[in-house]
Amino acid sequence: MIRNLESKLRKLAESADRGADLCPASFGEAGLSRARESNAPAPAVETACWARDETTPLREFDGLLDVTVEHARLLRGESAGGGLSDSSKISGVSDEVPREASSGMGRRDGVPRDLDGSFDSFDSFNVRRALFVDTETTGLRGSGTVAFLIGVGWLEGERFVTRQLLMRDYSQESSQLNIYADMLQDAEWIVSFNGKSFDVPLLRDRFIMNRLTARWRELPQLDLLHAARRVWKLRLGSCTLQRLESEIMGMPREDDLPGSLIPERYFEYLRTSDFSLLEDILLHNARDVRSLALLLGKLARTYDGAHSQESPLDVYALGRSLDRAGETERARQCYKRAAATAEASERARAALAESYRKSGEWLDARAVLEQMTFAGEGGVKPYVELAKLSEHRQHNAADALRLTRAAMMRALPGELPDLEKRRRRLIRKLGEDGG
Amino acid sequence: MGVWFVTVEQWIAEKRRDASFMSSVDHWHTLPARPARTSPYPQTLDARIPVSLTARGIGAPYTHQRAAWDALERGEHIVVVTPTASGKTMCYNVPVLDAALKRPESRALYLFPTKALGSDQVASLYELIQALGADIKTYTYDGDTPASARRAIREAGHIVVTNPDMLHANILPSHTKWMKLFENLRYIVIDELHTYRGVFGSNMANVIRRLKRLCAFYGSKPQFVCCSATIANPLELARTLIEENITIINDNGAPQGVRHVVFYNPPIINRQLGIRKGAVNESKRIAADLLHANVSTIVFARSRLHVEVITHALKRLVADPLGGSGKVRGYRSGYLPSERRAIEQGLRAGTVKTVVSTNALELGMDIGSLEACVLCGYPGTIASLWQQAGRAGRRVGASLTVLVASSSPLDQYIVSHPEYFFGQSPEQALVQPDNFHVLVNHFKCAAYELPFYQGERYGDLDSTDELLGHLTDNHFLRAVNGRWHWMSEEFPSAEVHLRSAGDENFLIVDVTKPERHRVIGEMDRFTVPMLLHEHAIYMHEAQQYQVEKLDFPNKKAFVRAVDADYYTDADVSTSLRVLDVFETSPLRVASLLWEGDCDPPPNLPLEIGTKERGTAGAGRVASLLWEGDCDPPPNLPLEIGTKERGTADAERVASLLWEGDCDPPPNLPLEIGSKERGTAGADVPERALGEALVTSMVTVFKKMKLDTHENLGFGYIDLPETQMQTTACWITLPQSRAERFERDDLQNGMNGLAHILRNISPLYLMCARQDIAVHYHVRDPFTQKPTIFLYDTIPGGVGLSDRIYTLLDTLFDHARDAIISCGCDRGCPSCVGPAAGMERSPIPFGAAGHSPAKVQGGDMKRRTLDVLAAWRGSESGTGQSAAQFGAAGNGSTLL
Repeated sequence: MIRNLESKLRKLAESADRGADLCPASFGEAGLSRARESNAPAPAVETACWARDETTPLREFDGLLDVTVEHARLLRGESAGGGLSDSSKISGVSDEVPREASSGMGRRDGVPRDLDGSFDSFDSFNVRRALFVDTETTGLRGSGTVAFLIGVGWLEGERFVTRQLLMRDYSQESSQLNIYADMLQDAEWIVSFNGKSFDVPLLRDRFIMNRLTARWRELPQLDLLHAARRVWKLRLGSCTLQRLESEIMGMPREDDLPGSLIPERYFEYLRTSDFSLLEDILLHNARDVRSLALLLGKLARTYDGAHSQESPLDVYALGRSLDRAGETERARQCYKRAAATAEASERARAALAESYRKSGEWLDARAVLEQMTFAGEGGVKPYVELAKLSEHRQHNAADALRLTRAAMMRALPGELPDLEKRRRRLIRKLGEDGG
Repeated sequence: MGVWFVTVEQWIAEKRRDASFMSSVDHWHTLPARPARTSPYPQTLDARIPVSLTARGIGAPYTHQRAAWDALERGEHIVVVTPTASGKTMCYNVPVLDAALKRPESRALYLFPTKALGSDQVASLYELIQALGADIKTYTYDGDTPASARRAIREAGHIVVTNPDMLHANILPSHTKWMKLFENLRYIVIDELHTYRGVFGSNMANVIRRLKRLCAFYGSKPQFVCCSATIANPLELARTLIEENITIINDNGAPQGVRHVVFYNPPIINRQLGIRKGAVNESKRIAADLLHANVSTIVFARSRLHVEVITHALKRLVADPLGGSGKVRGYRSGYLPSERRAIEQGLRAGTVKTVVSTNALELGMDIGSLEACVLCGYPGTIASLWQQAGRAGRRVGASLTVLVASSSPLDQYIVSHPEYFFGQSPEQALVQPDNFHVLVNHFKCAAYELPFYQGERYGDLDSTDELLGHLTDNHFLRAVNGRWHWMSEEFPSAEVHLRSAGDENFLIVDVTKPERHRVIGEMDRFTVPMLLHEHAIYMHEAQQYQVEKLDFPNKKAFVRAVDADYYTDADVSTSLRVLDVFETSPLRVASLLWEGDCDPPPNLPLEIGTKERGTAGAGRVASLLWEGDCDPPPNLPLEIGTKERGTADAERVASLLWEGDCDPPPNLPLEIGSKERGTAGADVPERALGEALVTSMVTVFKKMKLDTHENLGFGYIDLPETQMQTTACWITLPQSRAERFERDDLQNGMNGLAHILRNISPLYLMCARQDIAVHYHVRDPFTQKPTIFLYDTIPGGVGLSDRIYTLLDTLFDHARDAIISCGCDRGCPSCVGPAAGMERSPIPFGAAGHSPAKVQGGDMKRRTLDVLAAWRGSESGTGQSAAQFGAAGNGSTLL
């Protein structure tokens, strides 16, 4: 037994009154009498979680119904024909529950899945089988964090349905997760904003903590945070959902509850049972879920009209994204369009030259690099690239030497040693070749 | 100088004939050789293991290895306590690999106190696995593990090697990611168990409670395999840490060559101040001698600076155009793993002959066994000393360990008391898992990791109700339906650092280079005002820094490298107030300690007979002399009452009180056996254990010249006072005895006694010097008597004071011995320290050896011994005591 634990607790309480710095600040106002009373757990409370549905007409979600497999692939940053390079594979949590025929969302059979439930190809993406998921949690990480509110959206007929599953107390978590598990059974995709590294692993953890691993399903994910970053980070810097709403979707939120206040607000609700404290959180979460659907539609539209975006930086960023996905021709269109603007021409030309170089179109690459040297873009880089092309592709060491010398005229001190090496090598080469 | 190739045996013989060397040798101890004892491999083992081990030259395991495997096979938890290089790691590697071979899902968790040690072990384990040709995956999981590799480790690592800090801050709080490990955890290996003591150990015990709780959640019940260096209480330590029944495996079957242990005390150069030749130079000289003789040697120095100094000097000695200086290598914690591997290989190949290391690296280096070991200074604990000496410990042939003593009190005590070193190690590894501070922190972590349910136990605590109630009231937890859920945004394990209970460390930031500020260290908040106040000179790795700014609210000290010819010494005024008394009892009567030449008689109560109790009861109570203030009672056994038996007064048996927790044995004389008896008993020295509030405030600092310790000036410090609530043990002197002294004499004596107690207590507590502090009041407001306090410097206390409370008697004995046997005339920093200033009592950290010039007039030694005698209840008056203690120099007379 701890020696004098009681007296220590009492002393902590007293010292807090005195204001003395004897104990961790967090133990401020302990009163022993209250400590005794609260030893008895509160009387049993209802174990069923609270749920609320809201619907929005689908027509408000521009582009959402037009999202295709192709879009999904681009949004995941994958190249054509490639599998899911990053399927979240978690062993020990397997899909043992047979999928049942469902109402509402329908399902499709014959989709190949590997053992842990992820799809090994996604020729199957259908926005009508996607779950839009966003959670509100009591913290940022670890097993002591719970998702007290799970917001789930899906398409049903001509409506977008948002269902919110709320734990009114910790005793309702199991019920909440079971309802969510039921919804997982019918879904094929999870669409989220940063869900890959946050919401989904957190929910998986909650299933484990509640001994519900058998009901967990690991689904392929479309994480719109990463997709949005690829397109807009260059211009916007930060890509929070709220910022995208105001800058990209043109619908800034008024009087929204800042996310950082949510845990404390929920704890206050638990202490006071004042449900009105949760209204802001519920509203915030419902907006987040709907924003996911809006953003998905917006992203699809953006890719469709990649080269005709208003901002040259966006055009360039889309080009990069298409490039990575193997859409070389569309990427080049973007680059060419961006290259014609002051803001993005330097990056766009460098990317375009690189694109030509990769495909062995040396002359085109050369033309773009020369444009860069005329415009004074890219410092020594285009000269060096040109020198490499001259030396290795066109076997013209003399020209390469000329270009290297030109580069050295423009070089920063730190760049000189490498250029000097190149210059010497070329001179030696010229000497060997022709005396 | 040429190199003469001799064996270590020849070198030893040479030195024994060398009179000048031998004149500085206080003690030369020879431990005989011991042959190997082996057992066959157990039948139950997977057949591949014996085959591959035999192929590696291990034909049969040592008996202790076999005993360990058998105990594990029976499902027991074990602690293995055998010396360095006795094949301890095989005790756990073999069963772990066996389990992995038989059942591929099975998992093991290896815990090492440091990262470096962990990676060393992985390397050797990996070799074994390769030899087995099995697909057993071993991974190190620590701060350096790349994020990309972490998932694979969580999923597929058969053996996960990590440290307690990672377990606490990373693995346990996100246990869901480690489901596979927890579900299949078969063995938990805790190596270097003895390092988990004090605060670190108390934290570790709670980390293990949390670990076991999670294993239970995932349905596994792992077996613990612990390994410890030799300490006094390995079994107790293991039980306290693991909270399970443990089997101890300590019958070492590994062979051992002859070992020579030499205590070398450098010659005195100033007898009055007790100053000896420096240990660094003497170590260097001996190491150089060994190097010339081509004897493979490791030198342990106490600081990185000393390592550099010695390495440099030795390299110069052997430098030649052929680059012979490569024979000498430094080996310290800052070196890269690849450098260390190269040195280890060089040692094994013989291209490296001398290695100079800090004792930070004493643990588990893979450098094989060397012929000689030179210890530059006592490493602080007997366990460390043995572990370092174990580096020179070949299985065949002789080996040599030379301990070169410094002038510090601990060193001097050790070299003058070889029996202390070679007897049963008295060092206790203390752990206090229920230290309030530590307990609450980890309980929060546990609640975060998994909700507590009603009636659930936490470790060996009787009940968790109070903690749960407390945390619920403070809104960390929410109780609903008989479960307590975490209800805070806080991530509790981020707030807890295992290696210090003060969770408020300050960062020390070097701002010498404006473009690159870097953190060079951390310091606990209680020490910060003393060493990191503004304008303080702070020493870090032999570089001086001046504190430019101390940002108290943000817990940062900004320092700049300087080259100053002075150091700073802050004046700390500490006050101590008793808050609560847990326990009090008369200080045990000095003369009831068994000190006879024979074993104590069997019917002597244990409390009297604790000293050197052996097997035989000779029935002769040699030295239980009556030393009460009154005459001995007539019915006292003759053996006790022999001294000056005079007019008996049976009513006044003041100081022979029974103090056992049980009833006195019936055969004890009535006068001893009655606890309430003795009206005079009220006026005996008392000891007490309780809670105290220590307040310290730093107001001024002095600048002292580096070499002369001359005062160059002072400055004011403006810092808030710091308070700490902790456990303290104190002793009081009854007024009747205090009255014998002039006030100044009493104060000086108490100061000396406080100084020596503080210096020697770490020996018994196996704690760091700074873990314990001493304070005294000539008249304490609480006890109303002269009082000396010893307290834990860790908030809440970690059990050190509790231990001192029971050890006071032994501490007093050793204090007396240390003072008497100290070579100085009238007191020196090695024994009783400098004289006290008026009304200022604290013993600043590291004051000993600081400035011998401080010793003021007056015989500190005599005054301290007088005061000590008063406490021990002896009749000695101030006048005659010096002579008496002179006579006590031979150690036979009782005080």
